[in-house]
Order: sequence, then C-alpha cells, then structure tokens
Amino acid sequence: MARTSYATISRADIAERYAFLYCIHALVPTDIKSTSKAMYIGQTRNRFGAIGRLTQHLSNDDTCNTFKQRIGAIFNTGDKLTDISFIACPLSPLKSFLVDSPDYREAVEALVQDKVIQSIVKQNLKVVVVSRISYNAYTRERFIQEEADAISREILTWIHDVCSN
Amino acid sequence: MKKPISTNPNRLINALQRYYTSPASALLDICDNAVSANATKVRLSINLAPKPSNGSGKTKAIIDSFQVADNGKGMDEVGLHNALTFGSSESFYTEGTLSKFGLGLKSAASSLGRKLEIISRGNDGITRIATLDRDQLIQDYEYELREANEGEKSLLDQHVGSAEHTGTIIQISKIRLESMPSPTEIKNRLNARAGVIFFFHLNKNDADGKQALQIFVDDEPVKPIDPLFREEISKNDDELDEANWDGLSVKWILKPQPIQLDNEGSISGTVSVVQLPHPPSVADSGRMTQSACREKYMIGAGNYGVYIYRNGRLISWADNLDGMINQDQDLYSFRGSLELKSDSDDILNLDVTKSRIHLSEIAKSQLTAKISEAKKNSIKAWDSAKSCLNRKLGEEPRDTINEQIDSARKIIENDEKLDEKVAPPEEKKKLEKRRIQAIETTPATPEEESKLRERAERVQYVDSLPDNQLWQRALSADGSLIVRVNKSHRLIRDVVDVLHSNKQLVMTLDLFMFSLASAEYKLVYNGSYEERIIEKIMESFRGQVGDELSNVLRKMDLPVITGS
Repeated sequence: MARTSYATISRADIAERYAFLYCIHALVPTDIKSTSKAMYIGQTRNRFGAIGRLTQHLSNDDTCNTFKQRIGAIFNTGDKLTDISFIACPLSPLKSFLVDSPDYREAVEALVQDKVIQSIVKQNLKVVVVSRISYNAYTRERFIQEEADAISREILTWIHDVCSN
Repeated sequence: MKKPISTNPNRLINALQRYYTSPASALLDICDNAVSANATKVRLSINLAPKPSNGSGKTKAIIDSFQVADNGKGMDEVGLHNALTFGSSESFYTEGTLSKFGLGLKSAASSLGRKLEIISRGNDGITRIATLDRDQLIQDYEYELREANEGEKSLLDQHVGSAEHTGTIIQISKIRLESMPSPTEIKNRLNARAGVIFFFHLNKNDADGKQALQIFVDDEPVKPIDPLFREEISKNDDELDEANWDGLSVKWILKPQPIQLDNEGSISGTVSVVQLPHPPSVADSGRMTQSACREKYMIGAGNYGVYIYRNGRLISWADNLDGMINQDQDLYSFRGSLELKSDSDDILNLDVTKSRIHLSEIAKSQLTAKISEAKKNSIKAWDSAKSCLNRKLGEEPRDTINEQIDSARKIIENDEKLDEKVAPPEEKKKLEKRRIQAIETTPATPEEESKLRERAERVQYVDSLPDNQLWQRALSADGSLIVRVNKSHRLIRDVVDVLHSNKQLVMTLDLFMFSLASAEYKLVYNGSYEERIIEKIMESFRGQVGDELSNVLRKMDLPVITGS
C-alpha cells in the first residue's frame, strides 16, 4: 500500500514531557525523478515529548517553526516528505534543561547543529541542514559543550546509518 | 525555422566596460588571467607621457598606457583568438580558475583605453601580437594578428627573463583620459587593494618554499595582506572574551566553520570572523598611534564586514551580506571572511563582474545566526575596550555608581553592626547566627572580595549564574554585601549591552540589582521568617524571574526597547 506509513519507536518515554534534542531526516523531491536529503535539528520540552514535537513538524499547522515550513521555504518543489527518520536524545536531568525558558537547550542545539554540519561537510554526506539556530552566551559553559559533544556523537552515528540505508 | 541571433560586439563592449568602477579594479581583473595562467611574477605598470603645454608653460604627466606582464604559460594562436572572443571557451579554464564568463580581459581593457595589444609566447615558442584597436575597426569587431617583431619580442623577454620562457604582456593604450584618476591615485589604489585581493595567492609557497606568486606595481612588490590578520592571533589565547577584552590584539570571534550553500548539501563555504584591535586602546598602550593602528588594520567605514573570496581571490570587499551587517561604528573591528569555490557560482548567482553574490536561502539561514552572534560579541568587545579606557580616565559610569552604592552601603552595614551590638542578648545571638549563616550560604570568592576592596565593586558582572538567574547576592567574610549579575542572561546581552552608551540606564540598572540583593539580605538577616525557608524561596524566585524575563524578551520586539 503506497500510502501506508511504518514507524518503529525504541522507547515509550519519547512521549513524556522531558527535554530532548532531536533530529529529523527526510527525502524531499526536487523534481520528478530526484530527491534531496534534508535534516532538521531542534530542541523541545513539549507536553507530549519529542514525538509530540515531531507531530508538529510534520503537520500542516503553520503556527510555529517546523520542518515542513523550512522545506517549503528552501525547496521550490513543495513540502512532500518521505522516508522520514527521527532520533530524540534526552538531555541530562539538569534543572537548566528542564525549565520553561529554552536558553540552555538552545545553546546545546546550536552547538550540535554546528558539529553536525562540520561532519556532514567533511564527509561529503550530501544532506542539507534546514533548521535555524540562535546562539547565546551559554554555549561557552563547559556543561553545555559536554552535553553537545555527547549528543552530536549519537546523532552523527545515527546520520551515518540513515545515509547508508 | 531557427535563425541565428547576431551580436554587436562593439555595443556589448561599451556596456560591459561600465561595470568597472575604477581603473585599479580593471587592472586587477586582467591580473586574474595571469594568475590563472600559472604565472609566478606579474608586473602592473602605468606608463606616463608628458602632456604638451597648452599655453600655461607647465607640462603635465598623463597616462600613456597600462601594462600587465606575466611569466605564465602564454598563448598560441588559438589561445589568443580565444582570449579575444566574447564568452571565450570554457575548455581553456581549469578547475580553480579565477575566470568565469570569458569577458574579463575585453571589458576591463576597454574600460581603460581604446587599444588593446597582447604580446604572448606559448608552448610553440612563437611570439605573436594581437591588436584590437577600436579606432581602426572596419567591421564590428576584429583584431590583427601577426608574429611579433624584434622590439616586441625583446620587451617580452625582459619581462619573462629569457627568450625561451613563455609569458604575456597585455598593453592598453589610447587611454580614456576624460574619466581617469591621476596616476598616483591609481597606483595608491592598486597598492592598497592588490595585497588583500590576491592574499591567498601571494601567501602561498611553492615546493621549494619560495613565494608562489609575486605581483609588482611598477617596481614595488605587493605585500600579502590578510584583512583578518589571522597570523597575529596568539596560539595560546586566541578566543575573544568580549566582556574583558583590552582591545590590544586580534582575536577569533568565530573560528573557521563550514556552512552549506546548496539544497543538496554538496557545496559548502567556510566562514570566519575576527575582532581587530581597538585603536584608542592601542594608542593608550603606547604601541602605536591611533591613526597608525587604523592604517595598519585598515579600520574605517568602508572596511568592516565580510571579505568574500572565490578560489582564493577576493571578489567582494567588506560585504554586508545582504544587509546582515548594519552600519555601526562599534563594528569597526568586526572583520569576517567567506571562502568559496567556483562550484558555488551558480548557486550564489555570481554576477558578471564576479564581485557580487546573492546568498541562497540555505546559506542565509546558516549564516544569519553566526553573523548575528559575532556582531553582538564584536560590539560588546568594542564597548569593553572603551570602558577599560574610560576607567583609566575615571569616566566609567559603573565605577561611579559602585562608589556611590559602596559609600551608602558602608553606612548601612555599620549601623547594622551597631544595632546588633546593642541588641538584647537573645536577639543579638539570633542576628549573629543569621548573619554568619548568610555569609556561609553565599560567600564571596577571593576575587570578588578583592574587587570590592580595591574598586568598591558592589555590583559585579559574572560570566554566568546557575539556572538562568539574573542576579545572586554574595557576602564577603566581614559581611559586606555584593550582587552578582549574569552577563549571559538575555536581558543583559540583548537589551542592556545594546544600550551601553546610555550611562544613566547602566547606573540605574546597577542600583536596582544591588537593591534586589540588599532586600533579600534584609529578609534573611533580620526578617521574621525562618532563614532557610527564605533562602529557598529567594533562590527559586531568582530562577523564576530569570526564566520569565528571558521568555518574555524572546517573544518581544526588542527594537521597541533598544531602538536599534
């Protein structure tokens, strides 16, 4: 069935309200025959966990900054996404990550995106990162850098798997 | 039926020559061909001739011709024909070439004068001369080609070193004197620009360790100038600490980082940003005068921004990246570079002058955050260097307010001690216990104590505070109160730092922060609530205030407050 979707989720706590750094990877049609690989890196403390935020990214709700919106803005070919893969990494259980204000989570997100782009370019993986980031002064905190190091390692291993499939 | 479209090269040339805004840029574009031809020596010359006196009795030197001579691979007959063809064949261009459209030589030469001569010797060893004289054109566009005579051959031999060596001389005469700057102005412009434009080529060494390319303007060698002065960055202390920068040395704001340029993620560029020295601080240190510092680092209105290089050749001088870099004197030390390869030409819509690009959506989205953060840090650093100087002159508003708070606070703290001393024994015991406990809960660090002692610093800005708190109180061993303010908090970075020149605001904010801390201390020291509970509530309150402020600022239109 062409319209059937399949998903495998490794842990149920992806639906819990917690601080996550996540990455979405998908194929975007660029013309009738070819596709590009696009990726979105984000942070969330959504009421329904990282999976709740994924739902927003894939919906047609245009009230917030989503993967679909970014794809629409960058590719002229529309926002039809296929072969979607998703990874959600829980952040360490520190108060800084768990408060409403996303400053610390955004600092990790910015560093992770930088590291991921560096690695993608170095290894010529041909995936475009469409998410936008904003830096803040907390990117200089050691615990933020360590968190970003650990998460980017996980994400990069995952990207290799996704890109080689 | 298909019909060929005819072109009028004369009209085309007239249009293209107008892209050149200065003779220097036209000459440096001709220089590109020499670099692409693997030349190791390029000589740019301005040949002068006396202008006959028109009755005043004074003779004036005017430009007779321009020459660009190189010892590159030269051209044979086919090569010469290609060089004079509009939109010359791509098969002549190798990877990494500075050429793009095959229009540069014709349009650049035409912007300088009406006669173009190319004397060239390629691998076939024959020296030829091709002449395109627009005054002699019979048809729309034609040139004369012949073997060079002895005089022309020896001219080339002189430039390339021997009769065996390949090379090319481009000579432009019948100069367009009507709009030509003076020879000195052109030479100065060439000297000022060539070292920056060809920095990467001039700075490269060949296999023998010799400079791979030398460019001379007349007989003076052009020195490579990195507009970012990256070689001056200390290896051990290389990153900008914008809050404590003394303004004396070059620092990294953003170390080289890749950004993606196309929608497939296969084409990338590299962006980097540095902070150049702050001229008044350098002058104050006695190292050099302000003007010498400005001249050395090219600090001025037209020079701050991002220098865009394509295949190692500068294509855009101090670019504002589609308006990302606004006009602001506090950004004078901001200097960035964006290094691109010719694989990005189509993605970035490189224009015919190879001097303007249009950023793709993906490049814009990846650059915006980096440039915005780098700008913020640059402005903050410039302000820190200024504050450092003001402090020396006794004009720093934060010092003034700290002195005022300190003298007022000393009286209050003294009175508290006297009150404690004369209090009934039970109350005295309670106050003493609460005071000691308050000191132990939030003790000042030795560094903070010394700032308090030496500079009366009651309000101390710190790199960060836990959980996004905006302020935190601390007490010295003898019970003197200070307040720490979180420099990383959004309120400070996005609002207060932007309004740094408003001295009254800076002083009011410091006073307000100190009052928050002193009110807290009062509740803990002699309030009617249990001190541990108060401490807990206060800590939670500080975190909550920090969070709320950050959230509300994120949702606000900040220019409404900052006016920027």
